Amino acid sequence: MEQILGDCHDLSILPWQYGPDMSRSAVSYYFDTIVMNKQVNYMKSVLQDMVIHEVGPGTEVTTESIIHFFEQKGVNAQSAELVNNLDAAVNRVLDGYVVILYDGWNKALCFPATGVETRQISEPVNEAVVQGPRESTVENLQKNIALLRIRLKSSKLKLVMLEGGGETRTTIAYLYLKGVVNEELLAEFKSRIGRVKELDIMETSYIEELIQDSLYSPFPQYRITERPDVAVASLIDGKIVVLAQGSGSMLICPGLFVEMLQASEDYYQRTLGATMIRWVRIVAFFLALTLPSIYIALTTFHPEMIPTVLLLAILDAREGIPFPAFVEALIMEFFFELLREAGIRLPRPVGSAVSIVGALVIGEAAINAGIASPIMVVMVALTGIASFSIPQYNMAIALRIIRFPMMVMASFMGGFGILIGLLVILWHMMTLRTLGQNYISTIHWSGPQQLLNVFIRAPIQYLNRASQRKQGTGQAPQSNE
Amino acid sequence: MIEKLLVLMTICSIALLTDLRKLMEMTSRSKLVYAGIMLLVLYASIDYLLVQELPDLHTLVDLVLIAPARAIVQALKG
Amino acid sequence: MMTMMKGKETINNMQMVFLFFGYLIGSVLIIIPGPLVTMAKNAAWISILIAMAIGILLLQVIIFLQRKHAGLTFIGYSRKLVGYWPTVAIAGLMLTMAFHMAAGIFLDVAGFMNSMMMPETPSYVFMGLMYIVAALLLRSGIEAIARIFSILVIIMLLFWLVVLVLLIPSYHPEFLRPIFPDGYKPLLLGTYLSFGIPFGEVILFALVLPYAGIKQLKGLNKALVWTMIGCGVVLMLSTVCTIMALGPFAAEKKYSLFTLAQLVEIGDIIERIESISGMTMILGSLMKGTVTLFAIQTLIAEVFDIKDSRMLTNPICLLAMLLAMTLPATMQEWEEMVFVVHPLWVGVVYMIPVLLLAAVTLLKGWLKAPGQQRE
Repeated sequence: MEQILGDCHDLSILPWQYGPDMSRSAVSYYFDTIVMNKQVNYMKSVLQDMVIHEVGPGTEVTTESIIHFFEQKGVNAQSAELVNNLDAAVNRVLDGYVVILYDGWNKALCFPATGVETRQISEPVNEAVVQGPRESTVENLQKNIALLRIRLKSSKLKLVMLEGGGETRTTIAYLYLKGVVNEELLAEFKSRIGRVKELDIMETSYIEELIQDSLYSPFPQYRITERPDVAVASLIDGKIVVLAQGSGSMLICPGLFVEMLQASEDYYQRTLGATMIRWVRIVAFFLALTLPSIYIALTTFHPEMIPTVLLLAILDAREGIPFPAFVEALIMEFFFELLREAGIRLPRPVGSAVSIVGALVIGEAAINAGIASPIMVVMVALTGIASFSIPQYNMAIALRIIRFPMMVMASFMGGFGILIGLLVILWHMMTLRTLGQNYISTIHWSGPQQLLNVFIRAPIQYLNRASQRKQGTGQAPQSNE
Repeated sequence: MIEKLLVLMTICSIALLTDLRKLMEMTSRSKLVYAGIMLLVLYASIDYLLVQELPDLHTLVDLVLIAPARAIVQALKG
Repeated sequence: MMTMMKGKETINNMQMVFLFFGYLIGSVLIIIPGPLVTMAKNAAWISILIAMAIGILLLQVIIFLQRKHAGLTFIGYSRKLVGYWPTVAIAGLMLTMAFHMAAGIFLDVAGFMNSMMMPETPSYVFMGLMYIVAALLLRSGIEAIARIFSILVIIMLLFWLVVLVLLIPSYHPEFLRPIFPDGYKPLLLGTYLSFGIPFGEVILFALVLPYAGIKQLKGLNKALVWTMIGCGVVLMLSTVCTIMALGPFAAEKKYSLFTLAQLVEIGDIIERIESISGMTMILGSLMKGTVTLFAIQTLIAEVFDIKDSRMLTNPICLLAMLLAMTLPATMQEWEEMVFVVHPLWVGVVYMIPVLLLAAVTLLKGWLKAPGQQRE
C-alpha cells in the first residue's frame, strides 16, 4: 500500500494493536484531506460494536472474530465494505474511504467517510426564470441525484452508476424512467455510454462528445441544463439524464431540435403567454441565423425589395462607408464575438465596464469613424440579442457558427445564396440523428400532436392526455414534451 | 474558353472527389456503369467546350419526333 | 450521416403525398400558365382539368401495375412481363426523356434567374448549386427526401397562396370570358401542353412507388389521386388568377406567376415581393428535379443490377448538368422543344411502354383465369 500511495503526505497511516495482549495488528489508511470525521475512530468503533453485539471485552477480540463478524455482516453502526484486492483498496482510499487492513486477513474493511466542502445549492446561473423553482445543481453527485429523486418519487426511476476511465475515474450516473423511456433508445444509449471507460471525464460535455452521433455537425444533439426541474420534466418524457461527479451540468439525451427552442419557463406561464413567447423564440431563431445575410443580400442584390423610405435611410447611412456590405457585416460581427468572449472571461469588477466600453466604443466610435453604418450596428445587435433568447446555449453557438457561411453565400449569390444555404441547413438537420432518433421528425397530419408542443404551448390537460395515451403502449412520447 | 474549362474542372472534381472513397469499394460492375456514365460526361464536356454543336440528345429527338409533333400542333392551332 | 439503410426504405402515405405533390407542381409554376394561356387562350384552365383527368387515369395504371406485381420494382416487373432486352429498350427510351427533364428543369431555373432576378450571374452557377443540393438530397435516400419535401411543399404553398391572396384587389373577373373565342381547338392544344407538363410525367413516379409499403397501396391510391387533384387545383387557380389579373397581357408574359407577384402593392410596404415568388419556383423545381434524378438513378441501377443506387448519384448529376449546359442550341430551339415536342415525347416514351406493360399484365391475368382462381 505504501508503495502505491507513497509521496502523498496527506495519507494517514495509523497502526493499531488489539486483541489479547495487543498482539494483533491492523493498519488504517485514509487521506487526511478528504476524510471528514477524523474524530470518529473507525477502528475503535469496529471493536466497540463487536463488543456490544457479539463478543467479549476488547482484549478478547481476535482476528478470527472480526473476520467472522464482518463476513457474516453483523449489525454494525457504520456501513462497511469488504474489498479483496490491492487495487480496489487503493481505489477506495482514493475515493475518500478509510481502509483498514488486518494482519492475517486477506480482505480490507472500507468505511465511506468522504467529506469535501461543496457549493451550496443556489440559483441557476445560466437559466434564470421569472417564475418557477430556482434550485440548481451543484458539483456533488449525491446532492444532485437527491435533487432529482426528491422531485420524482417514482419507483420507475432507475439509476445506473458507472466509473469513467483514465486517472480521474469520475463517477457517472444516468437515470431514466423505466416503462416510459423507449427501449431501443435505452439500448442504444447503453451501448454508447461504455465509451466513458476509455477517457478522463472531466465534465458532462466530455460524455456528450463521446456518445453523440455526429462529431462535425454544428448542432447540439443533447441538451444541457443545471435545473433539476427541467431534468425531471425530461425524465417524465422518456429522456435519459446523465450526471457526473464534479460537474453541475446535466445532460439530457436525446435532444431533438424542437426542444432546443423550448424553455422550462413555458410551463410556468399560462398557455397564451407561453405560446406567444414561443413564437417569438422561433422568429428569434431565424433572425439569429439569417439577419446579417438578409441585410447583405437585400442591400447588395435586391434593393428593390426594401420599402423606399427605409431604402433611402439605409443608403444615406451607408454613404461614405468604404467597405462593401459583406465586409462591414463581417467586421461588426467579429467585434461582437470579441465582446462576447471578453465579457465572459473578465473578472467581475471589470465586467460592467466591458458592456459600457463595448456599447460606446464599438458602436458609437465605429459609426463616427466611418467603419460601420448605424444600420449595421443595429443588425448585429439584433442578431446577438436574438441568439441570446434561445434557451439552449449550445444551440446559440451553433447559430453563431452557421451565420458566417450564410453571410458568405448571401454576398456571392444574394437571395439565391440564402435559399441554397437554408436548404443545405435543412437537409443537414433532417438527416441528423440523435441517439438513433431523427433530429426533426416529419409533420404528421394524423393528429395535432406535433402542433401541441411546437407552435403552441397547449394547456397541461391536453398534454397529459396525450402522454397517457402513449404510456399505455409503453412507448416514449414523440419528439416533444 | 478558360472560364468553361475552370467550370468543368470544378464540377468534375467535386463529383469525383466526394465519391473517391466509394469508388475504391465498388464492385467491378458498378465501376463499369460509373465509367460508362463518365464517358457520356466526357462527350458532353467536349460539346460544351467546343463552340459548334455536336450531335446530342436533341438531334436524336429531332430526327424522330419533331415532324409529327409539329403536325399535331399545327392541326390544333389551325 | 450517410449510413447505409438496412433493408429497403419505406415511405408512409403522408410522405408519398408530399413527394408526389412536389414532383408534380415542380417546375410547372414557372413555365405555365404563360405559354398555356398563349396556346389555349381563356380556356386554359379547362384544358388543365382535362389533362388532369388523363393524369389520374395514368396514375391508376401505374398503381394497378404496382399492385399486381407487389414487391417488385418497375424494372423488376417489366422484366417479368416482356423479358430482359425489351426492358432495356423501355428503360433507354424513358431515360432519354428523363434526362431531358432533369436537364431542362434546372435549365429553366437558371433561365428564370437570369432573365428576371440576377442577369449578370452566369447560368452554371445557379445550375451547379442546385445540382449540388439535389445530389446531397439523393445521397440521403428517398425517405430523407420525402421528409424534407414535407417542409418545402408547405413553404411553397404558403408563399403561393400569399401572392394570390394579396392580389385579390387587382382581379378582373371579366377577363375570363369569353371562354372559347376561337372554338375548341385551343382547348385541345392546351390539353396537349398540360399533358406534357406535368400530368403525363406522372408515369415516372412509378419508379418511386415500390418504396411504399405493400399493404398501403389502396389507401395510397386515394391519397395520390387527391394529391393530383390538389395539384390541378393549384394550377387552375394560378391560371385563372393570371388571366384575371393580367387580362390580354397574360399570354405575353413568360413567367406569369412572377409577374403577378410584381403587381402586389399593399400600402407602401409590401411591394416588389417577387423575389419570394421566385424562391418558391426555385424550390418547386428543385423538388421535381430531385425526384426525376432519383428516377434516373433507380432506372440505371436496376437495369444493371447494382445494389446501391446511391453511388451513381454524382455521375448522373454531373451528366445532367452538362446536358443542361449543352443541350439547347438557342432559346428558340429550346422553347420549341418544350412546347411542341415534349408532350409527344412524353406520350411515346412514358405512356406507351407503361400501357403496354399494363396490357401484358391483363393478358397474362386473363390467360391464367380459366385454369386458376384469379387473385
